[in-house]
Amino acid sequence: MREVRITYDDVSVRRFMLASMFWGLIGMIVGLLIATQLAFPELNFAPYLSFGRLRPLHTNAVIFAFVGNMLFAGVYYSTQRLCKSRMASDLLSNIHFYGWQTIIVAAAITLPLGFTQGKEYAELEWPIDILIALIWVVFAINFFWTLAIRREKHLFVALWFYISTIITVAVLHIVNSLALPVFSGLKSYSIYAGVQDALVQWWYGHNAVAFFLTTPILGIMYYFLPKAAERPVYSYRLSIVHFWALIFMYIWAGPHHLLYTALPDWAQSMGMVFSLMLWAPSWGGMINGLLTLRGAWNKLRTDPVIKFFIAGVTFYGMATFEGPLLSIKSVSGLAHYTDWIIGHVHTGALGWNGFMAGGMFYFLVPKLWNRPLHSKSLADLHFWTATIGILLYTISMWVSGVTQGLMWKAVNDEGALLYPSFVETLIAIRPMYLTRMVGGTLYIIGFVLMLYNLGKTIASGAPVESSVTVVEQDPEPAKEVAWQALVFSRPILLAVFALLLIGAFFLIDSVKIWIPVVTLMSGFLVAAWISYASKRDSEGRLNVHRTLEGRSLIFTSLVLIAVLIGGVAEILPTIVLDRAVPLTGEIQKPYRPLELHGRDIYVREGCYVCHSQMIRPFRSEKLRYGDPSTAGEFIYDHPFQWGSKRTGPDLHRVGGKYSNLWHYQHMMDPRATSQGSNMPSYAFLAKSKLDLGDTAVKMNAMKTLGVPYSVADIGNSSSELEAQGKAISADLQKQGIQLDWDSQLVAMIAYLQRLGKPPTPVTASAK
Amino acid sequence: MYHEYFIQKGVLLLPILAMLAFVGTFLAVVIATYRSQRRAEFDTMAQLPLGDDSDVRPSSQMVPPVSKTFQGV
Repeated sequence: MREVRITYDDVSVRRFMLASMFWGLIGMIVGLLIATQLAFPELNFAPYLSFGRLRPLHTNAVIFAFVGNMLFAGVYYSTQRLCKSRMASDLLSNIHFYGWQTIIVAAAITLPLGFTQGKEYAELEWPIDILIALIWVVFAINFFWTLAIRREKHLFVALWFYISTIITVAVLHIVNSLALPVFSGLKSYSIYAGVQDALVQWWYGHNAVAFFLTTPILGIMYYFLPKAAERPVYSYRLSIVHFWALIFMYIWAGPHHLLYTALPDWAQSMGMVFSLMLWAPSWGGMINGLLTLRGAWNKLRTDPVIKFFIAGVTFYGMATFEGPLLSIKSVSGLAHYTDWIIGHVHTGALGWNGFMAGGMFYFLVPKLWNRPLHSKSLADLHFWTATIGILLYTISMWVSGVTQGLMWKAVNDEGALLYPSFVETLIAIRPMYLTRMVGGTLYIIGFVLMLYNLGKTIASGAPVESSVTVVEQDPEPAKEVAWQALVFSRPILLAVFALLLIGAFFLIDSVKIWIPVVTLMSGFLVAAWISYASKRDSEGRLNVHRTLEGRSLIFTSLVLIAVLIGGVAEILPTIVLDRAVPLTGEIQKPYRPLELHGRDIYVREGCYVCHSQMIRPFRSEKLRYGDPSTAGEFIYDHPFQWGSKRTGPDLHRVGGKYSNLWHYQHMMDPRATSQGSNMPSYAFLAKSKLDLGDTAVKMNAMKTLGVPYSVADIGNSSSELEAQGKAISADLQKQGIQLDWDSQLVAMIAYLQRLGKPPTPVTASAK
Repeated sequence: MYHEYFIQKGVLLLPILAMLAFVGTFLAVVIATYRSQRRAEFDTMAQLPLGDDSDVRPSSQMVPPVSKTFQGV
């Protein structure tokens, strides 16, 4: 036995925490700006500050910069203390911190410049995606290495959630970010198209919420709430059940973002059912958090840390009740594409993530700078200001969302739309947008109060490092190993089983046989491993979960299996059936060169954040937009642009609905054609030229991804593009508008006129 | 699509087996967790975060890490 003094790496914790506060403020200010732009569209005063480009900046800043840095601070602080070990490598910690900030800065530069993959919460282009993967691996190595050298045998529940986060986020990010670089600037095209892309994207998007914004914060709750309350976790048993149920079910629920779309019905139903089931484990976590305070509820009145944590957990409960509710198909029919979803998201982001961050910061700053909090009164003021802000925000968005949903669906006695002009709904919800601005402003005021309060605390204190002395056993001397023990040792047994499994996979030809065989053998392998490794207690009872909690490798493997089952089961059939063509037929034709350029501009400007391209099978949508969309109409859409919000109307069948002149006038000044519209002006597209040298490069990239462009198509792309551009330009000229055929606005008009229609032949005169 | 895929592959029974496996595993975890007579052990585990209090000192007075594993790479 010997005593070991451990000095924790709190430098990294401090860095991540300060970075979270800084980026949080930036992300929220950008959020307030774009909320204001929706009420006052004239504030879109420059291309790089338009709503479509800033909205991804807001979401990425809040999710990956604010919450990301916050969760890293929490993970670094709690992991070291729960493992009784300093982080394994200071170098890796430094690479992680500076690498992550580099990613954020790169995002802050590229997104306003219009470099985007056009997939929500995964907009960053391929070089940044690669950097994210590398930095995440650095974080993973540092974390798992720390687990490997830990002095506390038992893995506390917080660590399980961190493990699930690290493993799943890696899988999600890599699978969803697969894209083919065009090697023309930073541009890339998703390798998936249409329905496939939608399914993969929302499998990612939903689980980014689950495994980036929820599971690590639950881990933080399980560590920091007992610390602050000075009470043990309410029910450790409940934590076991709710952990495994949560991570297994979450991964299946992504399709609830695609209800009533062209996604196959089985996937929609599965997403809905798993979302409803998810309510139970989510509330298991909430109940465990709230009841941890049993016997110490009096602290809620006096301790700002407890106040923020309990409010945060309560908002988590509200959001995880609302989520399953919104996943019911009939509710989704009303709420999807409306502001209700924005309100729901912000209940989670501002209430759950923001308040948990507040609680953690108020807990950590006094400890890490060895100074009591500057002012509890200011913290209280922060709490109430932010709470009122959240309520104003979410309630206004609920009202706005329900109003939108009802107005879109309303029909008169003759069966015609009661509000045929989309702008009518925008005018009706404008007061809600103003209320949302007030709510957001209050939340930011509260956040600034926290920064001031913590800044004063930091200024009056000094950074301290924490140490702890632990007693550890001396390493046992090496023993001679008998050959029988060697043959039946775990590595050998595992290797034999692994070989048998691989053999079964490759040697058995029929899927009918190998699926049950592999399943049975996998089950047997896991059972054998667990029973071999399981300890028995003093009365001889098997103690399986205790064993798992002591063995990070097998625990991690089981987590991986749990999350992969849902992912594979959902995505594999869509991929195997190749672009859904066998079921719906090949309805779409490849875009013409000018339309392809236009589509890239549509993606660059973030049009998808306000316009959907997915008409659902409702009578009201058929009346307003045309026939419901089908899967076969998107087979060459890399990436899909179905969108998730209708601040403006659906565009899937807008092609041919209006004249070229109307589109020109609408893009130059949206309010000239649609009084009351809050769309930014895109007049700058009229002066911006297309990069014509990219045409063949882009078409070749699309061809690589499976779009059937022939060699002749690509060879003639320049003349084809010129002919289509000149046709549009000539049409406008007839009506007194002078617009260059190679302007970006012409390409955008060409793309919009193509939506929902087959390609129109170019007339001989235009050629 | 899913139904057709399983029919094509001749493994229509698989989703039902998977559901039974899922329900069975879930019940097994619940029963194993709540049946065991390990209240004292669970109580100890639940207290883990409470037992990690440490000394603090200004970072300028930091002593070098004592174990090789702490020195990083």
